[in-house]
Amino acid sequence: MAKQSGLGQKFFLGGYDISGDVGAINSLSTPVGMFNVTGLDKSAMERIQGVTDATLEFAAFVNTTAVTGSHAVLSSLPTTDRTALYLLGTTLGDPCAGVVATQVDYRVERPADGSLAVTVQLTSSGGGGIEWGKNLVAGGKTTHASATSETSVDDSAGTSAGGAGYLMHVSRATGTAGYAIEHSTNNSTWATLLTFATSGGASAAAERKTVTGTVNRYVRATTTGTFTNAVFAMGFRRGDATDRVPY
Amino acid sequence: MPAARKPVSGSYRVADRGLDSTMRMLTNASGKEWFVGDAVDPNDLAPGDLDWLLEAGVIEKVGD
Repeated sequence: MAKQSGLGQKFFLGGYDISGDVGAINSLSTPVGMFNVTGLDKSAMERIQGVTDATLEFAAFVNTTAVTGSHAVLSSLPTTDRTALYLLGTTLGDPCAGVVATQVDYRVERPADGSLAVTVQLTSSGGGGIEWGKNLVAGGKTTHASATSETSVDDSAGTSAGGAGYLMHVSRATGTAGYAIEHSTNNSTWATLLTFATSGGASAAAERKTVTGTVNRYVRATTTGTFTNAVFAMGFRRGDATDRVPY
Repeated sequence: MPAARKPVSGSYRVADRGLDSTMRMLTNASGKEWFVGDAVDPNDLAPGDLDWLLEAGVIEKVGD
């Protein structure tokens, strides 16, 4: 890994790949509340941490393509939570950010120059913040012609604090795809770490799934079942002993 | 020539961890797959696999 730009990224919402309709990530923020607890006997501030929050604001272009265009995906402002996955790069193992959030705005702006853009804000709603993990799919989004596994991501060592997986099921041609994340100590024998409840059928779908306990050194994305041409993205955030919201 | 691997004894099976039982729970380097409840011959696994798979609850011992 080296220093990188913000080029060649991807953004998924609710299983829809709207990377081409989103022009900017205006803000991806995880503020932490702080309480001032400075004692009379201190000459410098003492603070303790409060609750954390997460907001994701992005700017999109208006694409009126039915179902998968940005207007169809974003304008419905559903009352249920939305699951988003933002890939900072599309190489296997690149950082990604996942969040389960409520969409609180779909703001259309049409200035005098005739341009047309929307701004969307997501605010975390599931008791967790933004989860930074790693992209498990080569290219950021891939097509599995039938059930198979992606190349693994090597995290150098196993951990014992669980984790969270993010799935974006974009589409499939026929059948139903199952999705899982597998882990291994040796990159040859693989055990299922978590299975997503999402059935990869005709509709786009997204899911965040957590797991507790040991996560071995190697992790990979896997599809199962009988289907053709399942298109998906997947990320995994490995838990840490210092997590504010443990798994 | 590498030394022959000593056979591992015991009966094991894939544990039910509450995951989607239609999905495979374990696969080895040769591509052999196991599902929930399947018997696992430890000699099909790589050296050292038995320990972490038992520790992770992926398989359980059902006999000596």
